[in-house]
Amino acid sequence: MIDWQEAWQITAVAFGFTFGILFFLSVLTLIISKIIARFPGSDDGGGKPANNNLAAGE
Amino acid sequence: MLVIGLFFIWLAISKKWEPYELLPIGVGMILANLPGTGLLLQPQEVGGEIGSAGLLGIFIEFGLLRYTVLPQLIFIGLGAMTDFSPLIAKPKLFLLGAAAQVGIIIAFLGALALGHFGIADFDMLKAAAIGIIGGADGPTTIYLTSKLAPELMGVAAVAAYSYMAMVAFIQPPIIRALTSKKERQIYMKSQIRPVSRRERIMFPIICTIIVVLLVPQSAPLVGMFMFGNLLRESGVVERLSVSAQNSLINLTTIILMLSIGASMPGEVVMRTETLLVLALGLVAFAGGTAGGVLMGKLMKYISKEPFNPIIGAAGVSAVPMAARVVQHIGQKENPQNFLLMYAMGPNAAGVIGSAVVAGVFLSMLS
Repeated sequence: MIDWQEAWQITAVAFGFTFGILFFLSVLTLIISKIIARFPGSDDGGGKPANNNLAAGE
Repeated sequence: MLVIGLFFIWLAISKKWEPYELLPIGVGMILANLPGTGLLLQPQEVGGEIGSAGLLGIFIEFGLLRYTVLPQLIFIGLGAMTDFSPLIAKPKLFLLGAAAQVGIIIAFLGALALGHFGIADFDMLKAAAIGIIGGADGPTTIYLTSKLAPELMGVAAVAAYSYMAMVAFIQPPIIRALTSKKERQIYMKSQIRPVSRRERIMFPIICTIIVVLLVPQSAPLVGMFMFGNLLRESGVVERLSVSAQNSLINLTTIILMLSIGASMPGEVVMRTETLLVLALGLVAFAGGTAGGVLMGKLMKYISKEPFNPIIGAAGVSAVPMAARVVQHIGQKENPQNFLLMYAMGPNAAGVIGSAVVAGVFLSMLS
């Protein structure tokens, strides 16, 4: 017998937590990028346009 | 099973459908179902007697069932092959990867409903293992399934890889159903801001610390993924990065896929449940695509810049096929559009998202 109360709890935590973490990472990435941009020497020549992805097939 | 194994080999060679996965899976299935080979004998079954276990049995026991090292090693290679620049340049793309995880939830609840009504023998563990197929991420599916429901491992892995090979057929009708022609034609400028090396180095470090602190059970996947990426972005361990991107991932893929194929003996696969797992996997893929596109539509309304909602479909990960589908549709609707780099953002976010969901499932269910 399925315990639906537990199932809904797992559902809410799994999706809510994942969404929350990725949202937090997005805000953090934004903030850190802005902070790094203020530091002298950030433009170290290693910057590259974000259009050369070669991500792998999984 | 021999016929199915041969069919997979044919798909890989003639149709070039996920050949790196389906070819060794097909061979593994054939070897596992030929009688009297002893290849599947696991060390624990033969009491650890020297020389008595079979090669595939050793791979399955140590690589998957007992220690689950193979999917984690694959993640090092994947990290080394992934460029997070689009995600760093446009962090809001994280949200598309997050929304696409709804497919996992839909399949999880769907499997539980089937279990509830007695249609299939799906409990909470099996439902989570089936749901994760919607993450469109092979190693994550294998990792979670081997931990929660090892009997479904082979079927779930084949479902994940098969549907990843079919994203070009699964996603376009859903994208078209949920967006208008005008929306699909929205032009996004073809260049995202340059991302500095410092940002690319800090990203995997920060991601690892945050995610693992919050969901420790995701460390085997997220930690290895980000470690691989740091090898790539650090720029000081070129040989390690090249090895991770080539030798490590290739060798591990051979062993992992052979093991997956060999984990599919006929008596496990030839059941009604298998068809239901495949059907739920498809629902999960479709649900994830829909979730990503709907989030894209929401972001289109709140974004100050033009935002093409179809890039949300890439949130299901399926790297890089889902991003290519988005690029193809976008360019077909508006030849000026070049959406690939935008789509790679949610693609990478989807990998992180599905690893987090797997970690949450593990921490709540195991």
